[in-house]
Amino acid sequence: MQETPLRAEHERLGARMVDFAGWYMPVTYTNIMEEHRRVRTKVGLFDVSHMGRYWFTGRDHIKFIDKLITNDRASMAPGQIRYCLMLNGQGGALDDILVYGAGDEATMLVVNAGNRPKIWDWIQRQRKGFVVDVTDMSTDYAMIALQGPESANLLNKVSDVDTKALKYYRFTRGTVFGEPEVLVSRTGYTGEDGFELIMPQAKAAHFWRELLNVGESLGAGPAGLGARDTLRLEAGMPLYGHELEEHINPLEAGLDWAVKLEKEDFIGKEATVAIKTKGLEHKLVGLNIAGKRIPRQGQDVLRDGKKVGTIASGTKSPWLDEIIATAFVPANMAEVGMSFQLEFPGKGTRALKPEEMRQTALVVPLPFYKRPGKK
Amino acid sequence: MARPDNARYLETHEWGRLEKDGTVTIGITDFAVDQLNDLTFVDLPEKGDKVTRGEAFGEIESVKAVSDLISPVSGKIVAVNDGVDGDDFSALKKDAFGAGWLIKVKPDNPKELDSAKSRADYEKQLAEEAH
Repeated sequence: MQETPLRAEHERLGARMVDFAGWYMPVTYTNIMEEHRRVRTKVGLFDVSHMGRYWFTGRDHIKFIDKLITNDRASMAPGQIRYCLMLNGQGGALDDILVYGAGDEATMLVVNAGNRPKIWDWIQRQRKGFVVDVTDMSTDYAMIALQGPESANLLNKVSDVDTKALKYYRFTRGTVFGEPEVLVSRTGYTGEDGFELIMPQAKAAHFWRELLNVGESLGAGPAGLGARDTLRLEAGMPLYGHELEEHINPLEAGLDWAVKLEKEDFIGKEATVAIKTKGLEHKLVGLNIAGKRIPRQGQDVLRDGKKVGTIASGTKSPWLDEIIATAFVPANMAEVGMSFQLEFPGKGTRALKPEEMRQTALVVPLPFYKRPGKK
Repeated sequence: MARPDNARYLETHEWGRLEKDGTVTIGITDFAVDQLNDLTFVDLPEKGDKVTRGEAFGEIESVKAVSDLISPVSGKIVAVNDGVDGDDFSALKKDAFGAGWLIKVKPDNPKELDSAKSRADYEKQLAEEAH
C-alpha cells in the first residue's frame, strides 16, 4: 500500500487507518460526527497528499489540455482554477479534475488518487503531435487542506498570503511557516470556505504539526476520509467511483456547468452532444430518506415496487441529522418531490419493523447543505 | 477495556463465551465497536432462530459501512439483547463484553468454540493488522 509523508502524524494522533484506493489513509481520528462539525463550525485539516498532481509545460500544452478536458483552459486567467471532467470517446468520465492555470507558462491538473495511473497513461496516449512536457510532481510534494470558516484566520497566522485578495477557485504562491513558494489555493471538497496548500514533501509533517498547534485556539483539528465523504455529500459534490464512473456522462451527473460544448473540440464532446440531443436516460438526484437505515452504493431504488434506479452514495448527514443519498433515476422522474422506496431486507431473521425494512426517499434539490451567505 | 480471557475470538471481531448454564454468549469486540465508530443500526435475529458457525446472523451498520455479524458456533438462539437491537449503541460502546452482548445461543456442539482464537492470539492479530 502507498502512504503519504504524513502517515506517522496520523498514527501519532491515533487515527483509524484504512486502505483507500491503494493508499494507507486516516478514516477518522475521533469520529465522523465530531470531525464533520469541526469543519462546518471551525477548521479541519485533511491530508490530501494522495491526490495526483501533474504539471504541464511546453508550447502546445494549453491546446493539449483543452483536447483532454470538458472545461475551457485557454480562457482562464493566470491564477484561476476550474473544475472539469476528462472523458473517454464514449463521453464517459475517466476522472474529475481541478485545472490550475499558471498563465501561458504552465498548467497543473489535480486528479483523484484512485485514477492516477489511469489518467497518467491516458495523457501519454493522447500527447502525440503536441509539444508538451508533463511532470508527475505528486510524490515530491504533499498537500494539506484547511477547511472551515476559521481557515482564513488560521492561514493568516502562519503565512504572508493575502487571504482577502485570494478569491474562491484562485491560487497564489506565498510563504508559509517560513517556506517560500508554497502553492495556496482557495479550494476544497467540503462545501466550506477553505484552502489547499502544496508544499515540498519534506516539509509536510512540520506544516501539519504547526497548523494543529497554531490552530488550536481557533478550534482546529484533524479530519479524516470519513468526514471528507459526509461533508462532500452534503455539499452535493461528486465522488469518482460513486456519482461518476466510466459509463456515466457528466450531464447525467448534473455537471453541465463544467462541460463547455461550445468549445472547439475535446475527447468525448461528440458523444456528449449525441447524448444530449437524444435526451438523457438517467439523471442524478438528491434523496432525503425517512428512517434510520442508510442506503448503500448499488442499492435498488424502487417506484411502485419496481426497480427504476440505483443509489450512488448514501450516508447519515451529520449536519442535518437525516439520512441522505444520491441516486441515478430515469430522467422523467428526476423531479423535486418525486418519491421512491428503498428496501432493507436485513440479514438477521428477526421480523424487522415495516419502517425498518422499507423507507421512503423523496427527491430534494442538491446540494443538501449550503454554507451561510453562499449563493 | 480488558478483553476477557474466558471468551474466544473470531478474526472478524466477534467473541463467544461459554457460560456456566451451557449457553454461548456472542458479541462483537471493543475493537470492532471502535472501528465501526459511527454506528447507525443493528439488525439481530429472533429468539428461537438457528445460527450456523461461520455464517452471518445479522448485520451492523455505521455511517461508513455495513458489516456481517458472524457466529462462532451453530445452535439455537435462546436470548437476544433488546438493549442493543435497533439504534441505541450506548451499551455496546461502554461494555462490549458485558451489557453490549448481542445474542445467547444453545450450542449444538460447544467444542466448536475451541477453534476460535484465544484472547492472546486475537490480540496478536490486532497487532499485526496495525502494521
